[in-house]
Amino acid sequence: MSNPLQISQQNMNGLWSIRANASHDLNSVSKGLFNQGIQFGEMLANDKLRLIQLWPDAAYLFSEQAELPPITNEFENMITDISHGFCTIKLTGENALTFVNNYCSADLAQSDITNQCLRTSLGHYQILIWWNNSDEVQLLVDRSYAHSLTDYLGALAHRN
Amino acid sequence: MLLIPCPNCGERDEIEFDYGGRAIQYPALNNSMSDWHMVLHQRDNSTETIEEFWYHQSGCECWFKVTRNLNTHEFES
Amino acid sequence: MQIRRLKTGGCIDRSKPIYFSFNNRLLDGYEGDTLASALLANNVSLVARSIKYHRPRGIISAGLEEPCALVACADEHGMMIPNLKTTEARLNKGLTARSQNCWPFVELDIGALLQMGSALLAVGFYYKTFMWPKDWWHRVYEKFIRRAAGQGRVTYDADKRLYDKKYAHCDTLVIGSGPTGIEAALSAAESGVSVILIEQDCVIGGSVLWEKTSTDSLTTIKLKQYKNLRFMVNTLAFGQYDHGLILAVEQNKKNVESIFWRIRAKSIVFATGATEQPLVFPGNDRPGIMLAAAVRQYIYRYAVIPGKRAFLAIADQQERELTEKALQVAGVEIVGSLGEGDQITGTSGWHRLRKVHLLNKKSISCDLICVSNGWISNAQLSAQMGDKQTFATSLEQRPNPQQHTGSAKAFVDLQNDVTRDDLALAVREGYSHIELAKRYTTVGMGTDQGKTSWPNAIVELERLSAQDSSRVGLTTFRPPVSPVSFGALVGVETGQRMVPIRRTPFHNAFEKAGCVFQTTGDWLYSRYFRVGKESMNDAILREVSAVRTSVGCVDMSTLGKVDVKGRDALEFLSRVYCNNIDGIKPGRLRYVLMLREDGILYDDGTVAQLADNHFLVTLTSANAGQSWRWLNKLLQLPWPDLDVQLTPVSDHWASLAIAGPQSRNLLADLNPNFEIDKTSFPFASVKQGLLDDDTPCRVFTVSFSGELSYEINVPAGFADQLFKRVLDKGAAYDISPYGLETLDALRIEKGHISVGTEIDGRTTAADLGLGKMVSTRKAFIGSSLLQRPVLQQPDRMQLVGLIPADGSSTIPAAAHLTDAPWQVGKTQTPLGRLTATVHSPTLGHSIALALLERGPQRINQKLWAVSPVEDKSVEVLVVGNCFYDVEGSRLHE
Repeated sequence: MSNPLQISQQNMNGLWSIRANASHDLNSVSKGLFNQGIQFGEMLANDKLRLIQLWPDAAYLFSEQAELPPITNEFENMITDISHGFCTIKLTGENALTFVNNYCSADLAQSDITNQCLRTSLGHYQILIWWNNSDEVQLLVDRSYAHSLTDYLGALAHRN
Repeated sequence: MLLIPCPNCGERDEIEFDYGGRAIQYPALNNSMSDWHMVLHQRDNSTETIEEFWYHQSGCECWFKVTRNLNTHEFES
Repeated sequence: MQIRRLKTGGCIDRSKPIYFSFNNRLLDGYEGDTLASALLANNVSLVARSIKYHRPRGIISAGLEEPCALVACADEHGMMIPNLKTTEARLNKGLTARSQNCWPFVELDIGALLQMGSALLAVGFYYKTFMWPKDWWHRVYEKFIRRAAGQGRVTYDADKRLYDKKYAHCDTLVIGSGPTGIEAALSAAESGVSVILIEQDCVIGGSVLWEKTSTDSLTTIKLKQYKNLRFMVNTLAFGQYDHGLILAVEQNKKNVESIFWRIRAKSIVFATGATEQPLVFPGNDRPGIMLAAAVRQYIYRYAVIPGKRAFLAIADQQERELTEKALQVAGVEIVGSLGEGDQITGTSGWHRLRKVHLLNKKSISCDLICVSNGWISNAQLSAQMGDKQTFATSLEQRPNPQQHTGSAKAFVDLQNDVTRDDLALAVREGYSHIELAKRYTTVGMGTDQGKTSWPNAIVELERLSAQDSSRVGLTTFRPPVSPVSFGALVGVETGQRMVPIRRTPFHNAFEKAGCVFQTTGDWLYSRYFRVGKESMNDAILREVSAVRTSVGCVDMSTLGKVDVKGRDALEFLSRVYCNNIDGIKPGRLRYVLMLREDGILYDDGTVAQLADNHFLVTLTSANAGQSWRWLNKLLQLPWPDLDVQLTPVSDHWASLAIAGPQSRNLLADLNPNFEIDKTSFPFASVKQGLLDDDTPCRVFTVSFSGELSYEINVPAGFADQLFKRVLDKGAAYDISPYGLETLDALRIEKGHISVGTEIDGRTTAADLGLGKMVSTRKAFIGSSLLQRPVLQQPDRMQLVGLIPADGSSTIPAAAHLTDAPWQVGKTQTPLGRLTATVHSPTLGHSIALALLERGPQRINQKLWAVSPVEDKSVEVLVVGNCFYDVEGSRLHE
């Protein structure tokens, strides 16, 4: 196989949960970071940050840095550090997206998913998935499940 | 396995959800025992449809209400 | 020797011979054969013995509907697979197959002697026998029946094969690749929608395969043209479920034994074809009596001649002509055909059909009868979702088909050996509805699900009870359409993978420290830590002693943790918990109780105030997921107007509690950048800062053990570092890390409650001695119904402690409390039951917590803790529900 599936697990650098409150909605934060608003199901990214909104009132902010970007200080009450609560499992290789699609309960090929991110279940694991192209897919999973999920994915890869 | 219409995520497999029971509306916390009892324990037991809650656990984590036909399992909007 | 194989033709590959074994005979076939076609090619007609009468049986069909020719096969791993249809098993190198349900040989089976008693073995005989003498059931009958019943034998070896399970989604799913299915798939693909086409056979074609000598390769090329069309062979759709869900199993894959597919389709085309039905006549079960279309399939697809002298018993003219043509092409002599008014009165031949007997006393010598009593569409998948088939015409309207009568048994169900006489008996006894007759006679209840018997059964019942099929009814079809292995359904989730297991951030570090783990709920959690070669009991004694006299450390990371922010955070928490918490201040925490809406105690935990409008809530590990859902529900449904933001942080924080009289000293050695003396950092507080200037932390003064204790929370990535430092600095105090066993022993000694034991969905806070924690000046979840009379009654079961009356006996676990010892045959009403027991290392004897009627009023009474399971009774003394440091002074040292 030319480009076999690789599975690697990593800890997070910066990851924050941002929740809308009575004073500010998510658009305020998004505009501060990306100069544009954000809506449900959308993923915004630049070379430093990634913002994914998969809840009506909440979004996750990913960063290569462990420190919060300065612009968000005024929204302190909306932000909670969750960087140690998750691990990323990266799947790379030809058909990585097809592989993940085979085992998720959601249909990743659906045209409804305009931005390439969603929360769904894989086996009995809850995961957040995002991808930029079909050869590299990232899964975000609760840290306590990461070891089991990596093993599970390995067993699935073994069968393909 | 049902296909459940999440108002945010669209139709998803039942495995992503948690069932929330029949849709009930709480009385105020200080309402009488009788009010609370009626809401929690008295059911109309329709054979046609049920209004119920689902929680999208592996998705947007929203609680939402749907009406389901008890004979065909179709979700009515 | 394949003496019945035609020299040319068929879809088999004569350049690839395959050797296999059947009942220890070495035989050969070709690639493309099924086991059935290869056996027929080798002129093997006797394949099995029927389940009840052990009559010789052969192959009657060429597909999934095969009722008789079931064998046990060993695959290349040596795994025995019972009840495999010879018509379904593809011929593979090294295949070893054996007849079932016969001894010593299929040719000479001692079970056939059962036929002599057949009058006694009429249907339902087991409802009327084996009842006397009463105790002979266990001693004699059951053992014999268990051995004699069933067909194949199950193997007890572990299944080492790999199975897979996948999801697929499409707009249109087409099931079946006969002409109809192909056309549907191509036209759907042409319209641009996503299409999946599945076919149960190993090649595309369906009914085309019965009438032509080869499959149309053009078709496969056409199918491959469309990028939006996917087709899979060897894929059996076995069940239809709500909202367009089809479950299917795909076999004959390279890497895995099978793939279990869950296919969700917006629309489904059922092009599943039809199954030909056999004729019911006396002696209709001999090897050599085959379905007409199957005969054609063996000739055209497999180039096999199922017999040399064929008799035709085919009602439909077209079907008869097609069969005649096939037989002529194969060079088979047609020795006769059933005409108008003819009746078959019986057949001869034991291991193989030799003659057919007709009404006009004529007997024709033959070794093959091609039967056809019409076709029934394979509508099981639709029927599973409630679309029932009905006969288009009523009994009176239908042309009266010839009934064949005679003295020999006329079989309606060839797999379960159900005869026309059995159905007549059922009707005589009042079971004329098909659902009743089916269960009484077992007609249609075999592994073939009656594919070649239920229509004939309904027709027979119509005639016997002189009722229309609308009165006789229709059977209910349930998945699977054809047997599916358990392995296929399980997929990859075997062994440890059955449920997702969670590990705490300390897992790896603990492993290195000699931790012995156990699964508890979702978690792989520390059970105890083994030093050297000590036993578990010794380890527990050591650990408990360390905590009570010096210091120990335990993993508290599994607790649910929720970050609560917002202007209405305190209001929200006030409504959720029954305690008064409005007086809470930043830096302090409260032990809190959560009730259900009906006033029953649901969970205990803590609320810590970190800053203005910022709280951290902890939830019991066992309830963490459920409580998170509950808190979300409250904010979304009844109270959406509250300005509260919840963030789950359970996995973000690693939590290690250091507990014991030396714990403050140890904490000081960890170099926190905040004051930790008794006044600055009292019990029930929280402080945030750094340890050693490099480790961010939050420290809570809470105690589950009852000793002075500090729960140190660090972001999970710092867990290893924290544990290492705690062990290093703790060495000076002989620190013992401890696990669940010690955690439990300590909490029982203190009478601290726990979910699942004291909090069991039936108890209230007051029952557990925590009534004072329930606020009387605010409304909260459960406050209203908590007042209901049944929860206020004084004779409710309440929490007490128990010690052995003699000071040394072991109180049996899960015992009930009674006023007299246990006696077999005597009825006693329990006064209460134990919720927890342990041999207390600190006190040196057994202790227990229990719920007892009017508990607190019975203190100093003696009762009996009885366990019928262990057949033990121990006299106990009722005491208060705390055995150690009742005033709680050790927390405030």
